[in-house]
Amino acid sequence: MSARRALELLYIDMWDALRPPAFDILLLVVGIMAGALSVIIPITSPIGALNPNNAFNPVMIGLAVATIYMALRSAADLVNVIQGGLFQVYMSYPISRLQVALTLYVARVIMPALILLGLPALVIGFMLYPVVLKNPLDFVALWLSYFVQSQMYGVIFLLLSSRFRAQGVAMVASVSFYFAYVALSFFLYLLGLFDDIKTLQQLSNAMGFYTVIYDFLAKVSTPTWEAAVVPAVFIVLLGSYLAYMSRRFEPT
Amino acid sequence: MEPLLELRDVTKRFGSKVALRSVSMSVSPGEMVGLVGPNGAGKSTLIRVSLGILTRDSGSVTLMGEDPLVSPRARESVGVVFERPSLPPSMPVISFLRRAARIKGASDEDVKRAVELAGLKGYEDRPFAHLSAGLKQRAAIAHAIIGSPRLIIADEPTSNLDPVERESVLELLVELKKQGASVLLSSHVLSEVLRVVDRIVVLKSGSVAISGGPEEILKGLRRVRVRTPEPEALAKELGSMGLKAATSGPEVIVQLEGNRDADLLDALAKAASKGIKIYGVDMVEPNIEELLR
Repeated sequence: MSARRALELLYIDMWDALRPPAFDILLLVVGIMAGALSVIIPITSPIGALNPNNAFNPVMIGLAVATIYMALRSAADLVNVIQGGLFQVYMSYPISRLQVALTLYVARVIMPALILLGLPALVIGFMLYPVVLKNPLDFVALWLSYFVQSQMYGVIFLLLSSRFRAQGVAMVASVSFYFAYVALSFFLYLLGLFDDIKTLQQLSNAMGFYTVIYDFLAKVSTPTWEAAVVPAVFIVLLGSYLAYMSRRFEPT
Repeated sequence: MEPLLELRDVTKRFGSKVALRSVSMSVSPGEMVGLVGPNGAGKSTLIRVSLGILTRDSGSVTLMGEDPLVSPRARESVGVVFERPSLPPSMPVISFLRRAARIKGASDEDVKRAVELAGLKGYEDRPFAHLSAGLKQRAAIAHAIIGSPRLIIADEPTSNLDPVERESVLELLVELKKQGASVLLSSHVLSEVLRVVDRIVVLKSGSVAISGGPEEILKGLRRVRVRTPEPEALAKELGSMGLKAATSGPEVIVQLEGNRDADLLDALAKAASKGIKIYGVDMVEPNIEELLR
């Protein structure tokens, strides 16, 4: 009964988190881009097209779009949900705080990422099916790596949004964090390359879970710890978010 | 009978600010309790602590026999109208109400009834964001009364409404009480609460300042305003009859202590017979500031 109630709440919150037209437009853009790239990549890189990992690269656009969407819309909207009083309405239901926190996470992070990363994967699977069918497990593993990466970003955005009192501030903080993260990864890589410091390069690599999985699938020698960084950070952050929302968070 | 809601020595702090200080109060079955206090007195905090939305620093809260912080089931038969009506903005109200009904364990038939009772019929297909302030409040009330809850907690349900809508919201709460629901009605307008509740709890700076029935609370606060072009003469005349009267501009304010309504009428008739013109007489609505003075 309790799980069913949480599912009803999930439906309500998803309606708010994925409301048109922004989400629908993004879906269209991501779908078209994935379709275009899966045509362009085999022409520009015929060898790469034979590699399912390369074939999967167009989903990168989905990750960027999903991340920006989560930062600007679904997570930042949490500020409105809290400040506008809707959160109180959710909390007035016979549902535990943990379930409400989980529901918000599923509606605002899992679902947008699942759809915005899932659509390009479907398009690629359709357009490049001979390549994908060669190694379907690789295809799934890479997709999951992008998904896990998006979840780490999403939880950070939720945590930031639950702390701020203004939606604009939450948006700026989330987007700034994302670009700072990407820039830091790039900076570490360059620094490691120029100064020949292997650890910095590995750290940079570890910041993108999909690059670690890509290396693993391409049989590039990679230290095991690299594969643990993003999932570990994600699990710790998710635990912190759930603990904060179910124990300490108090709606104003 | 066991109270539906009971707070015992509840204290709630926000940092160094004490929002509730050893508050004890209860709502029994079939009772309508008014929670009154000026803005910032702690009414909304008390309601949110009662529902387990906010934690408490000390004391105990029992809602439907359970601690709402520990058991979400305690909120199963409670309908809440928050101060700011808030429903998902882009979702048609009826879709939201149906989903909310399933969360509360109610049926679509209950939703239909709630929509009718709240006076939302004809507007239920619109998204919440497209409704007027009054209709938003009605939607929030419909949401609260789905499934005939045993306890309705209404936090300033008449704020931002025009007088006609205020009246109809109060009438609806009275009707729900008649149908068996208990009501905790919070407001900063003492006069509107006095008319409908069985008992009043007055909060001041987070503490219960006064508690009792409306008659008891109103003791010493019943006053009549008499409009006259000769306030000094009228006040003197009323004073000579043993009534407490004071001038206030072109008016005379008479304090009615005990059952002296008939004395006042006699005194006014006598003053009129002496040629003192009287333009009008009405009751002065008591306010919280006077009550807490």
